[in-house]
Amino acid sequence: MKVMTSILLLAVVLLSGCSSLGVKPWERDILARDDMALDNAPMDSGFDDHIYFSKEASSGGKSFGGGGCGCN
Amino acid sequence: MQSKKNKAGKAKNIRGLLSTATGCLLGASAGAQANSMAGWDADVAVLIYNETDRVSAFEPAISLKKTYDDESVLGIKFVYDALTGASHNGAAESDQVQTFTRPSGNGSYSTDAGEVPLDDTFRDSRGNLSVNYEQPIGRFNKMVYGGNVSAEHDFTSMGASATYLHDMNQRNTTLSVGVSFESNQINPEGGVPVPLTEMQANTNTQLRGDDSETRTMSEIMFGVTQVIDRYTLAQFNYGFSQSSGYHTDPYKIVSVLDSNGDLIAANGLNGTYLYENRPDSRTKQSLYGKVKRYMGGDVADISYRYMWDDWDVVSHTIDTHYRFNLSNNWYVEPHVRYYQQQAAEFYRYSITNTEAVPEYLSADYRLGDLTATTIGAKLGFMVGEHKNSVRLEMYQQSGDESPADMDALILQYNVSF
Repeated sequence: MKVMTSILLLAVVLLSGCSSLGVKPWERDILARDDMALDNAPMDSGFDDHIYFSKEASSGGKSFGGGGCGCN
Repeated sequence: MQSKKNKAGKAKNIRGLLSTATGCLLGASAGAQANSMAGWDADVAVLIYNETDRVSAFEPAISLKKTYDDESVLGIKFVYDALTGASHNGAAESDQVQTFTRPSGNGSYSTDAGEVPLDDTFRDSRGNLSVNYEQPIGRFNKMVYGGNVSAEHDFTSMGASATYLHDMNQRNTTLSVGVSFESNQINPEGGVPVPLTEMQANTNTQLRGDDSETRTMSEIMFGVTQVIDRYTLAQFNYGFSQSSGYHTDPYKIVSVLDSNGDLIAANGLNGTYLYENRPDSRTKQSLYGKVKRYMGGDVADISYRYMWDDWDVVSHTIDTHYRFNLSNNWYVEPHVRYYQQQAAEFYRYSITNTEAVPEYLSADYRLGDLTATTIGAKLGFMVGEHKNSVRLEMYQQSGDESPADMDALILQYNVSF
C-alpha cells in the first residue's frame, strides 16, 4: 500500500508540474523527428525484449510484450 | 507520429517546421499523412544470437504497417525463431563425470568433471504473430488494441491487450492506461515431471504427471509521457502483473549433494537430482522511466527500470543509447545496458541430503543473483530510399556460480521499405 501511495503522490506531483512544461504546436520540429520517437527502433526493442526475457528474471516495464515463450 | 521530411534537425528548415506545425494544429502529424499515401510500410530484419558453447538462435522478422485516412494504424508482425544448442539443466558442477536422463526419458547424456552440466539436445522453433490496431477517438484520445499468438513444439501462448491514451496540456502530456491478458500452455517433452521427485536413469520409469500444464497472466500499466521542452521528452510507467498456474521449468533439476559436496549415487545415476518446483503464482511490479534528448544534432536516450516481485526478485536495468547523426544518411549509435538482479527466495545452487527439501526449489541460474552487461553499436545508412542498419553487441552474464557465466553475440540487420 505504501508503494501505491508513493506512486500516486509522485504521479500527482509530476502531472501538476507538467502543466508548465512543454512546447507550443509550432515548436515540435525536433520532437517530430524519427530519431526522437520514444521507440524509434521497434524491431530492435522486440528482439531485445525477447532475449532478455529468456535470460533474466525480469521483463516488461516499457509496454506490453509481443507474446511469451517457453524459455522462462 | 514521425515526420518523414528530411529536416536534419537544424531548425532552419522552415518548410519542415511549418508542415509539422500544420500537422499538429490539424491534429495529425505530417508522418501520418505521408504514410496514408504510401500504403504499407515494411521493416524486415534478421537476428543472429550466439552464446559461446550454448544456445544459438536465428530469427527473421517482418513488420508491416498501414496508416489509413482516418489516422487509424494497423500493424502486423511475424517473427520466426530457430533455436539449437545446449542449455544448463540446473545441476551443479562436480569433480566427477555426471550422467543425466534426457527430458523425453529416452537416452542419456554426460557432463565431464569440472564442466557446467548442459543438455545438448536443445532444439526448438517458434513462430510469433502479433497484430496491433490504433484507433483515434476525437482529437485527444486513442485506443490501441493488440493481439498475439506464439507457438513452439512444447509451448503455445495467446495474448490480447487494450490501451487508452489521452493527450492534454496542448498535447504535451499523454496519459495512458492499458490492460493485457495472456494464456499459456506447456506440453513438456516426455510429460510434466512430478515436482521434487528424483530423476531416474533412462532404463527406469520417470515419475511424470499430466501431459500439459497452463499458466495465465494479467497486467495493468499506467503511463505518462511528457514533452519537457523543444529538445526533451520523458516517459514514466508503472506496471502490475499477476500470473497463476504452472511457473516451473519442466527441464530443470537441482543437485542433492552430501555434506562434503559430493555426488550421491541413486536411481541408476551417479548423482541425485530433484525436478525443480516453483510457486504457482507470481506478482510483479515495475517502475520505468525514460528520457530522450536532442543534443546539437545527436540524440541521447536513457532509461531505467526497477522491478520487484513476490518471489523476492529485485532488479535494476539501465539502458543507454547515443545516436551520432554523422550526416542525413549515416549514423552510429553506441549502446550500453546494465542489468542486476537479486535472487528469488527459493533459488539454491544445490541442496544437501541432510536438510529437509524446501517446498519451492530451483537452481535455474536465471533466478539467482545475476549481473549482465550489453555493449555494442549500430550503424545506420540509407541505400536509395531505404533505411538500413546493422548492429553488433556483446551480451555478458555473470553470477555467483559458473552456470551464470555466459557470453553471447548479437548481430542484427534491418531494412525498411
